[in-house]
Amino acid sequence: MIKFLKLNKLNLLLILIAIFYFLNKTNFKQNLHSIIKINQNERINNLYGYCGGESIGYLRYLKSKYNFNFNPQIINFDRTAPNLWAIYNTNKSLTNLDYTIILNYPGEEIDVNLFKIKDNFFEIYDMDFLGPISADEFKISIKEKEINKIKLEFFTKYSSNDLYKIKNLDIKKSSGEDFFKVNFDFKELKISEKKLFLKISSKKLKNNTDVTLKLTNKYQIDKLEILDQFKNCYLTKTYD
Amino acid sequence: MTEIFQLVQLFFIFCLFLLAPFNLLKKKFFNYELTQSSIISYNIIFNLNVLLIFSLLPLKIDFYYLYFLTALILLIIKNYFFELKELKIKIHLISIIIFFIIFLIISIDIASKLNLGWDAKWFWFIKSLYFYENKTLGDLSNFTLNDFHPHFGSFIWAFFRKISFLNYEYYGRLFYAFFYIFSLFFITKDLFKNKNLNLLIFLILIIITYKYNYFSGLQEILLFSLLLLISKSIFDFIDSRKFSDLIFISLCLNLLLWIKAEGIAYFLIILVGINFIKIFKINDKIKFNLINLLLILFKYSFYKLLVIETNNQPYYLDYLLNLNLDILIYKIYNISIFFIYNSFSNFIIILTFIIMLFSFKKLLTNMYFKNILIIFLLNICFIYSCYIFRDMEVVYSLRTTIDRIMFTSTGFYFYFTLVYLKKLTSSFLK
Repeated sequence: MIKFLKLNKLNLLLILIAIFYFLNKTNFKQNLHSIIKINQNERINNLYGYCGGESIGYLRYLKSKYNFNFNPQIINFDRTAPNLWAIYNTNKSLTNLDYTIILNYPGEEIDVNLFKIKDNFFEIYDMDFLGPISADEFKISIKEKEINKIKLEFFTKYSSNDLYKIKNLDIKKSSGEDFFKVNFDFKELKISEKKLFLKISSKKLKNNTDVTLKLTNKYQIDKLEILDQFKNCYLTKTYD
Repeated sequence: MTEIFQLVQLFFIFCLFLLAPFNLLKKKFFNYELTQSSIISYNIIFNLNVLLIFSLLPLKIDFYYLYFLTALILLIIKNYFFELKELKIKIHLISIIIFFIIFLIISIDIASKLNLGWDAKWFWFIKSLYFYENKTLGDLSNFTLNDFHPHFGSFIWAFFRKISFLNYEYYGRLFYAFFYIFSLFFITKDLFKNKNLNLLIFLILIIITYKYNYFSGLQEILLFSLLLLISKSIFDFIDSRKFSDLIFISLCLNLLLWIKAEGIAYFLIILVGINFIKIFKINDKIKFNLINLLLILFKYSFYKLLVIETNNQPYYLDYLLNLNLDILIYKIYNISIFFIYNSFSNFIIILTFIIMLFSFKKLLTNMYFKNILIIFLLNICFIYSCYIFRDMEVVYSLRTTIDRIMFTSTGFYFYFTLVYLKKLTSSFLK
């Protein structure tokens, strides 16, 4: 009987240790404090940001102020999960493209991250995300400003690890200009979530040139009617 | 404080789903002898299947959720009012308290973090919003991303959110937590005679498996919980040959079909695995397979009726026919790398493999071991097929999804591992 009790006591002690370990693992004290001190709305705003990141706070503010009877288009220039869930209207299935909520607006141009793989060969990050929000022109500059003619080759990888060339562009600029301006829509490449690579070549080009790539923003704020604004977050409407 | 009070209240509401419609004090149902644990699990699975039927009807949640709850309460009163002492709550008190404590800890974690997963923001939450805002399954067709997966997980999310007073979205997700805790509790409850030891094992499993991300609106946790229940029922069936275990498995399989697109794969894996059980009487086999075939036919017919795509995932015949050897090798190589890497975070898979290696002779003689081996092999084939035949960049696809697929799959193996460790400890103590 005593042995049984002792075994039971040991088990109960181990159970308590396990519970306390789990309490610690889940930061129970901090969580409890957060629920008691901060209400749910504030917790959501703290988590998702007001105008920055997912900007759910600003979206909820717009929904309560304007009481949309449609689902507006939401363009977020920060790469985040889709935002529409925060203000989705189940009564209206279609998106009203006249109204656009623009979040984290970067300006007239969008800087593109280029990762150098080897000499003059780069991976272009996030083009699946940036392609749809950029206009059909971009600017590219290289360190050697005196070179006025370069060749751009775009590559991707399909199901295997082999590179496939998908586009060639021969581009020129005048001597006084810093940037090559190119009329080209990246959506034409149809890469979806596949990787995109860029090779730059020219006769006089050095092997380790610096490259800057800027896309023209498809959404120019000065060409839209601004209905609401908070920092670089906007509710806009296309002009009639 | 109101939120915490609501959490406690929700726990008791969720417990209603365990206590009715079947009476825990009865030992026989439709000529089948059942234990109390079986009846509790039958109750929750039966209630979920009833909710599934409600979700398919063109009825608004507001119309019936209170009636449903009231019916449960009335059934509980009918079952237990005059026999409260027979429930022997004192004996089970410590289990109930620990169950409640774990539920509270996890609920408070969910309530504090609140973050929804990527897919939850993309479509799961919006689907639940349709039901929550009194739309029906037919209205879901208006949502362009409806076709990726079935709806039942989102429906549960909406249903339990509706039940809460404050109606915060995360209250719906708390049922996922309750179901997960219940499933782990169910597989450990009768493992050893020492109840405290069972509780300890339950707690260890919670510590090993709990991760907030699984409760961020993603559905894998529901599949995992169902697979835990199924794996124990398969063992019980092999042990006792009761057709009631197969009925229970069929009810669980039905839920798998309606929660996620890959539910059909797990459905078929289990179906094939069970059909290989030798002790299966021919009559029972026919009945079991017929029931499950009808479940699949019902789902696909219903989808045809509502003009919903049965599986709008990127698997195309053209792609399959154009797969060449280079691409195949590249894909298999990458899948293997990610599979091995993720096996370390879902170590039950490695543990299962090691157990099978050490018990190689038992794989040929023991029916349960053989069954798990078949399920294990089919499961691996499924995981590889998911990525080989998918028209998507494989590394991107693996990076974003394999962890969840492998976590779901571990639901098959936890009970097997526990049974093996139990046999190991008992032979060690001898």
